[in-house]
Amino acid sequence: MKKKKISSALLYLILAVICIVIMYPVFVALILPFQDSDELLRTFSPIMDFKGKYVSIDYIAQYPTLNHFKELLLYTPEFYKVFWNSIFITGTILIFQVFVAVPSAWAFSRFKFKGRKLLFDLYVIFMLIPFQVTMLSQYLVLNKLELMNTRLAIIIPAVFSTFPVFLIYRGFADIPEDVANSARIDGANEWQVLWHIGIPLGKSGILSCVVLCFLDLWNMVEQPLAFLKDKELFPISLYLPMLDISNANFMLAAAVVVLIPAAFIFVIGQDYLEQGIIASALKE
Amino acid sequence: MKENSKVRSVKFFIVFIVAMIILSFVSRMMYTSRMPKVTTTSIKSQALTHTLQASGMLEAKNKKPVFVSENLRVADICVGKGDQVKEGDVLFRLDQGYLNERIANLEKEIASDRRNTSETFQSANGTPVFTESGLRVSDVCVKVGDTVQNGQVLMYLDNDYLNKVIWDLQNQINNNICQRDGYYESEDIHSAEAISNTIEEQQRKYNAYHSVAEAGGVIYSRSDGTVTSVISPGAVTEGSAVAVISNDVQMNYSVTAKQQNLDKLKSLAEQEGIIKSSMDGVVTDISITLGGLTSDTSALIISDVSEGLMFSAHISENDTKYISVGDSVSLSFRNGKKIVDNCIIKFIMKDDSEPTYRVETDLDDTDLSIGEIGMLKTSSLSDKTCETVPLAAVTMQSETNGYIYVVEENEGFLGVEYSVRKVQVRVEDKNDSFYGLAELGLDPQTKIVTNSSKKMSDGQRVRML
Repeated sequence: MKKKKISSALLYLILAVICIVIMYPVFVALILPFQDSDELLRTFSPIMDFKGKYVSIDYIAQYPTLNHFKELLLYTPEFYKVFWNSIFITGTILIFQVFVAVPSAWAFSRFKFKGRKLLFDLYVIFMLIPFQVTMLSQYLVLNKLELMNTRLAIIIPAVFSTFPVFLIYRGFADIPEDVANSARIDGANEWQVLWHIGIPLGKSGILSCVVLCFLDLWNMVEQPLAFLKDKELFPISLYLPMLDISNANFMLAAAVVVLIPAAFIFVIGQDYLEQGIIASALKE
Repeated sequence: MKENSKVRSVKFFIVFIVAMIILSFVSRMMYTSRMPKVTTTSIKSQALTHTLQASGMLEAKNKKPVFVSENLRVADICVGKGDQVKEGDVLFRLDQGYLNERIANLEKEIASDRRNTSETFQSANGTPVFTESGLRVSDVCVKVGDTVQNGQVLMYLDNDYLNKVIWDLQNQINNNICQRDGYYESEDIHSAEAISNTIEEQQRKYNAYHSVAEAGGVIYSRSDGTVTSVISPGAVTEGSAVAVISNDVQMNYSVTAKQQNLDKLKSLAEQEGIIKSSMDGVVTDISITLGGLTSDTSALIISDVSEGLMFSAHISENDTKYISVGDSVSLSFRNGKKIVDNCIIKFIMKDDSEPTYRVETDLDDTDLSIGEIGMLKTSSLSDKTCETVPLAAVTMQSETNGYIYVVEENEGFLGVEYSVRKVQVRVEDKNDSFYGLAELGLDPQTKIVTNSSKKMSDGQRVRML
């Protein structure tokens, strides 16, 4: 019993340390924007001009201020431009991903057709290939389609991503076949079975896919960097790196604001995310 | 509970999105309100036109100022400005009583100055005038301060006294000769030789006196100059000079000036203080006042219109770059109702006491009269072409250096945006509307800011109107 308690405590300790290490950058990112510009300059001066002294952070600001947020939220319309660019790109991709991935996943989970396994394996392989490998081929195709430097260059390839299919498939795979058959017996066609049986019962998988894809798409950098030229079309993930260390106050305030939608989505979809992860771990 | 927190999260997220929508508009408004609104123009490569305008007045070509001595009271002014006068017409009268009083005071001063000759004159190089000693001066014809010429009579000697001296000397000589003969007979050679020397000396003196007598006993000046010292009448000459004539006199100038002034005053007194015109003409300027005192400037000016009119104006030193003798200008009078073109500049000269230049041009128009105010106008093109911008575009930091703001277009997150860049410039030329700048190295299509609603800084984003 004692041994169990000790090992349990040790485990919690290790987990706490890991948690602190993981949470520390987020904590710093949340407190730094409230420091005055002079304080931030002192904090980051070793980064700009290293003279043997390292960065030291004041966890409680000596001169707390909201000026940076005021400057960002009231006097920087370009921040909103990139914010809504990100919202548009992410939202469009998610909506169309669902439209494309749900039927694909249903087909993979319900129908036995020739080449199904090979096709599914191909989907998994494509899911594992990093963007940098397919970037050039994508560039050539998009250029030929005259979609370069447009939002569609980001949206279209992402809509047909294989990752959502994989996630939603796991959710659909858990639905008992009998439920679907009973619907078919009642005269429902496949679309009706999908709409009335598949989607309600596979909701957790779909929503976990939405949450994970949102987090992925909200922070997407490579595709916009490769396919977009006009700053007007840039998402927020390209705007933040453009602010340099001399605008540190601005950059930190913007980072906090950018964090908010992702936090909201996570809080709202946390349950579904857990269910989705659990479902993918269960073996039939 | 979990559902409640989920619903709450959804609500907060919706609120967040709505707030971001509202702030999108608000931030755009605030950002735009901070942005300066600018008006722009392009650089023009051209030669600058310099327009010179100067106001002036018509004057007669022939003008004569009338001067009188200073500090005399004016009793009556007989003419007014614009009056036609003929030669001999009375212009004004001086107060005779005041004039006579001035003359008397001046004479006293001069006499007092002259009594003390060492103070009056200091001569560096004087020519002494000698005559034989022992002669009496009967009359002195000059006084200290008088200017004499070579050969001029300075004084007369008393001839009777001279003759008596000669007669006495003759007798002495005769007596000494007799005495010498006696010494020779007695073979007293030593005494004889001694008295011979005396006789020779006396003979020389006799000859000198005789020469003076033959000249009539008159002492003449041997050089031109000014008498700085002279013997008094009745005095007996001694070995020193009876007079000293100097042509390098360092005089007490006040005495000379006083003397000259006295002469002028006496001349005025002879004319009973009446000042007359010396020519036909028009009185164009009167600077004396009734009952006031005259000054060293002209009392009035008489202009002779028969020889024609001229227009004179004053321009600054900077304006002289754009006008020269021989240029054709236009003159306008009577608020532009009368314009005379193709008037040739005859004369440009610096004013004595003012930091301006006087410009004159002849005018043959008989409709105009003396004293009319007019405007001279001419324009000239600068020699070389330069890049010109409006005056409002340049902010001057010194006489020749300044800066302009150049608008640059760039693609930003909000689309095409404009920002300003500060460019240092050097001003080479200027007229009323433009600055001519040294080579800027800018594209001719570059937009230059001429006006801004707010203060700008380098790199600031602006709105173009």
